[in-house]
Amino acid sequence: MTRVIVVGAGLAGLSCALRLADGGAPVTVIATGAGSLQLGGATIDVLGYTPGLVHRPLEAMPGLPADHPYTLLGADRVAAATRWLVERLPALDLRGSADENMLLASALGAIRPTAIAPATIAAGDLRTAGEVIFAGVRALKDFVPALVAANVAAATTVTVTTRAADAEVAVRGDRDTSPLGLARAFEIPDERARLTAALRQAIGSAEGARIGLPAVLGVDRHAEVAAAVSDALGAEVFEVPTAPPSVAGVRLYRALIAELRARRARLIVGSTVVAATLDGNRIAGLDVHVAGRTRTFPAGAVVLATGGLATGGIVLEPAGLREPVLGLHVADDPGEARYGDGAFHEHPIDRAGLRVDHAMRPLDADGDVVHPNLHAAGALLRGAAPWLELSGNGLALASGLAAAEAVLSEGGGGA
Amino acid sequence: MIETQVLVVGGGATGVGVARDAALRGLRVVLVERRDLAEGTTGRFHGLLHSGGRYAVKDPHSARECMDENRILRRIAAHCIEDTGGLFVCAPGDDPAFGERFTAGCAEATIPVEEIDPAEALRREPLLNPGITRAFAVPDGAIDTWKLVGACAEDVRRHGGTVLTYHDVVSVIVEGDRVCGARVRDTHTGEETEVRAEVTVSATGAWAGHFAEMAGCTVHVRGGRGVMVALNHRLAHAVINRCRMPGDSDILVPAHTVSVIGTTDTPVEDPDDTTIPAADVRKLLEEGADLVPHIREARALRAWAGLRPLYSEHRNDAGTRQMSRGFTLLDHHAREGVAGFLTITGGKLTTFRRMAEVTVDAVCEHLGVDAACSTAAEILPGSEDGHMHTVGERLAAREGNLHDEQVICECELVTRGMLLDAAAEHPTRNLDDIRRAVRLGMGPCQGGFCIPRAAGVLTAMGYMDAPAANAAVRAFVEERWKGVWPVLEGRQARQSRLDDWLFHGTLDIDHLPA
Amino acid sequence: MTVDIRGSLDNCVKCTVCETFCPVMAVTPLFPGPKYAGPQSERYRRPGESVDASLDYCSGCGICTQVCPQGVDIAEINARARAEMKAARGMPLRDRLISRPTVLGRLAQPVAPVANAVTRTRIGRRAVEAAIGIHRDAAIPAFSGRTFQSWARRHGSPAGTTRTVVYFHGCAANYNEPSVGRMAVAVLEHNGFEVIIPPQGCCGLPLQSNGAFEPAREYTRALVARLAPYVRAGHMVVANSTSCGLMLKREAREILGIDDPDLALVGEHTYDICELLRDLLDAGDLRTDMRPVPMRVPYHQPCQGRGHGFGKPALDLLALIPELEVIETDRECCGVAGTYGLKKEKYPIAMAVGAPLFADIAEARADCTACDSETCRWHIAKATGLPAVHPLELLYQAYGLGAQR
Repeated sequence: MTRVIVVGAGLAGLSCALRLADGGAPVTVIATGAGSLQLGGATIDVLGYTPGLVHRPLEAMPGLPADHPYTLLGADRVAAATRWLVERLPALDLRGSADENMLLASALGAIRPTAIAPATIAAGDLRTAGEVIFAGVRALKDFVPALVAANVAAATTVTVTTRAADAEVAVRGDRDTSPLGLARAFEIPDERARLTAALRQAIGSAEGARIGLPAVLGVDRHAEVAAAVSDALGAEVFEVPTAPPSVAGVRLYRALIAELRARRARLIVGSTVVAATLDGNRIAGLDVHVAGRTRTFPAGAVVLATGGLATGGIVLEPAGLREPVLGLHVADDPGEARYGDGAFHEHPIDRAGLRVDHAMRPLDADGDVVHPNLHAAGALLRGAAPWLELSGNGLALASGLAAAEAVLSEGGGGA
Repeated sequence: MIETQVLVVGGGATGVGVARDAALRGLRVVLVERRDLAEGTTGRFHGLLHSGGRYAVKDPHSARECMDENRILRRIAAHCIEDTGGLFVCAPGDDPAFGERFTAGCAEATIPVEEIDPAEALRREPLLNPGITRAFAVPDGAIDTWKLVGACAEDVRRHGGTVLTYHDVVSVIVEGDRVCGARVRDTHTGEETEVRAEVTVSATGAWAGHFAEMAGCTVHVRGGRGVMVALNHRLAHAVINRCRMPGDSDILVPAHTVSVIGTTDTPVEDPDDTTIPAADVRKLLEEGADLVPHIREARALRAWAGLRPLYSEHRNDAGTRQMSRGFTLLDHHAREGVAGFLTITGGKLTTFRRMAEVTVDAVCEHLGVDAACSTAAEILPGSEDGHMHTVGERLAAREGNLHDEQVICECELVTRGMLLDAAAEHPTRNLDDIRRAVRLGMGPCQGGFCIPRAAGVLTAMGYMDAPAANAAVRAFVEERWKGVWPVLEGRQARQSRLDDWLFHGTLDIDHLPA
Repeated sequence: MTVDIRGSLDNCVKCTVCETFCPVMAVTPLFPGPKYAGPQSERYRRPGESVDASLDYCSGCGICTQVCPQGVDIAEINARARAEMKAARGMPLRDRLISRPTVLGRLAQPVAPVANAVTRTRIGRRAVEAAIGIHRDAAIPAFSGRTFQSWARRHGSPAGTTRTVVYFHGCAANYNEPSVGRMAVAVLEHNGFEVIIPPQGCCGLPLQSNGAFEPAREYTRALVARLAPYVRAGHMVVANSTSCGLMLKREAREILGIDDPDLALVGEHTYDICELLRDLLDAGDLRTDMRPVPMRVPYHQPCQGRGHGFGKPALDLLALIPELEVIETDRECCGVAGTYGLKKEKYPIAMAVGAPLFADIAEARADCTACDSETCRWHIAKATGLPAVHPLELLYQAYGLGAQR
């Protein structure tokens, strides 16, 4: 039984690998690094803007352009993929569905639509009216309660009242910490007691209010920490995802890796795939830079989930866009006219990517399948602008699972 | 209304230099600048403190002047300078015989020069083109113009002068055949004020023609647009020059944490035309690779363009005191019969103090004041201890406060304290001004991580409210885009997309309240 | 091929993935983290100036480089900057001693009983701590009275071998654990290899990780000179010390900057023993006639093992052993990082880094722990009170090779 190799360790790659492993395929994940989940907030954004605010993502999908990946996948597959994740990772306690968006505060206080989020983040859904206290510690510079509270209060899409509380307290003796450093401090009982005492003092009475904290309530012992902090503050608490290192993202990454380990998937983090060895037009193996040499890992099927321009799955060179692993055709490369005026507009380059067929197999410039046993998923695909649409994780999941299903249905797993 | 002896228009190096010189001579002086100090040409150059080597063959007079001023600035403005030293190298294909003319020119201009073995040059600077045939060491340096201009402005204030930034001249007050100052508008409040002065000095660089027109005079100044590119880290710790007649893409300057490759030269009519043509960027990187081949693989962070003021009249025109081939002082009384009005233009940053001295000599002559220039002897605020800055100084400082201070901009090690001090000094709360003051957001991520932080901290500390913070973040991102997109390939394209993800995806700044 | 380590800082997009994995940063604020110490601070460094002493708290485990999605050689940048620091500030006697295992081994081996007796007593260890700053509780190995080399010189190859391999046993097998070396040979011979054991010295890794690059290079070059003729003759090299093997494959080139075709050749043909055996397994060429080993064993892959980029081959091998229950630990690092955890000022950090792993092992109620690297094994064994073995020792047992001898 030849192994399926998934290249990339972001949400697309890891969820694809897990689905393959569940389906009985022997899976190897090879990635240059530990993926990208630590950069995002662990919210499963399915579709947030088109460009107006989307309340019901699945219902909005038929209105998307023909070459949008969601159009190719279809709303049903997207719905199934999100349900799969919620059910497959019970430990994360994911809430919500692709049917409707909740409205969460961003770490700057913008109102941000998302479909699914871990329970402690979903608890910050601002569609529920009432008083919200945004609270933080000054040592964490990535979450300033005063700004978040003022912006949420000024938002036209929600009706909550807000106030801010800022605790002046060192974190493990440090006046400068990251979300991760703070989350680790919350796991140490003595530190947690000091932090919650300072927060309680800064907040005052929280009677009848929800307290929004940055997403720092523990890493490995999240549930325990969240419950303890809620008890200590005497109110319901919720978390607001932060800039990287995103603790919520770390939790999601670890949950997926743990499931893959349990399924005996082989994980190779830190090695880069540089080329493919072909047998006719089928991929027989992937050539991988490992310590000291390039070696070939035999592959029965390959799923490429290396991400878009942000993570190096696509690179921009003077000559244009290039897919660096296998040299696949990048569709919709606008050539020299890559950028329009201004930082806030969509640019001609934004939706470039790989064109794929229904089995998520990359197509060449003529629209023909490049390798029958090669599939692609995630931000590599053309047609979406995830950071503007807020569709990144939804696309990653749905396309990752679609690729896995395609491999399994072709007998790639042999199971 | 403000009454003063001298009104200086323009907050670049020349303007603050003139204001400082005047203030030190005991004159009452007001400086007005339409935006922030050093936001024009002064802040848009490569940061090279010339030894004069660049002009040693072409223009020995300028070379001598540069070397003289270089010596003075090392003394009076030490904290703005890094003593990097400089190398002039003959790249493969360059005429090695130019070296003889170069050393002869240096000798004439009193520039200390030492020819070193190419192998020794490569030992000092391992990324140099291994094919160089000759190398000469000269006392070039790197100069931080924002610090320099800030220190001069501080000295003006200490000597009783006034510096008004974000004050745009709406009209020049002309009474009879005399310029009596200008009407200025505070661009934030919209409030207008008259500044009445006995002498008005235009230190408006490439904008000198526009300003002179407001006073009914004519000055022919063209802009020579120079494009420069900052590379993510230092490829050399010394200034690298090409040993040949000065041309494009032949200077690589270590400016704090980055290397700056410069420059191009394109005549432009509009002094506000700081367009960055993609072809200029490509040319810089391609030709710069003759000096340091690694430039081809290096990551470009950002490009910018500055407008050199090029004075283009005949030197024997009436009233033109061509004090050197480098700069020009125009007395509009002698030229056009308009009294109380001088224009100083041209020149280069290294000689800004000398330009100011000549200008204020003329001012004193007009005012009938007998006061000698002391700017070559008086130390600038901040340079009292004579320490020049080093690339490692922020890292060393950070080592001492790892646990007590917060770092806001991680790339450039800007601490919370530095941010708040800069905010206190810049009442505009414009994050781009704070950037220039402390290098906020000038590193690899170009503000991706630190700008939301900075806006948050300034909000929490009461320097701005939430709407202003939102606007400041958006304005910064918009302003950075102008310099970033021309170099947006390779790793910087990746960074930019990650920043997009943070700004738009994670923080959703597009949907912050207006 | 020269490797542009400093230039790789241009790949950094400040994403902080490295920080989410750094085991040292997780337990102490003394180390400001891999992103800070690596690509960020490197922009402020120039040769001959070292201003950031906090860098010394980096343990050099290398995890940051492995997890970096952008290809920044973070650990390598840090290692080079640490060497600059040591060059500027000098190296303590302790670091000079513990970084030369062959010297220590040659000194201690003839007087092994005495040396071991001293280091086994509380009073002896206090004296050592006071004298040179090796923490009194740190695990230091016993010295064997007989070196592996002296055994190997008398060891005859069995008949019927079908292939050859050169065994790079490393200092630990030679001076401290010759039994591991003997088992490695037995397992290889059992799978049809003729095992060639040339005389050999230290790879230079401890010197490198302590920042003494020049002497490290001398050791590496001498070792490469020993091994290269065999590789040119068509033999491959196998190592059971993951860190020493990685030195030949990668670190000598990337950290020490040795640009030498013989090193590249040797590196290209060097295999970790589990890597080699798993390749045989994948090719259907590994003997799988194994007897049950009814034990419960947590497996911890050392950080340096991950640096090879081959996944966890030991898991696939151990999975072949009937009745062996293997528990894969999901911890980044045991903390010791070679010689880091020996040092008086860093031992508490090493123990804090390893604490979650030690807790997992305790919770598993295991018979022993399996781990590929010797310094990790000694540290884990000392901290948990359970024996720690190389995975090949379990294979040796499963093959029934102990019984044959």
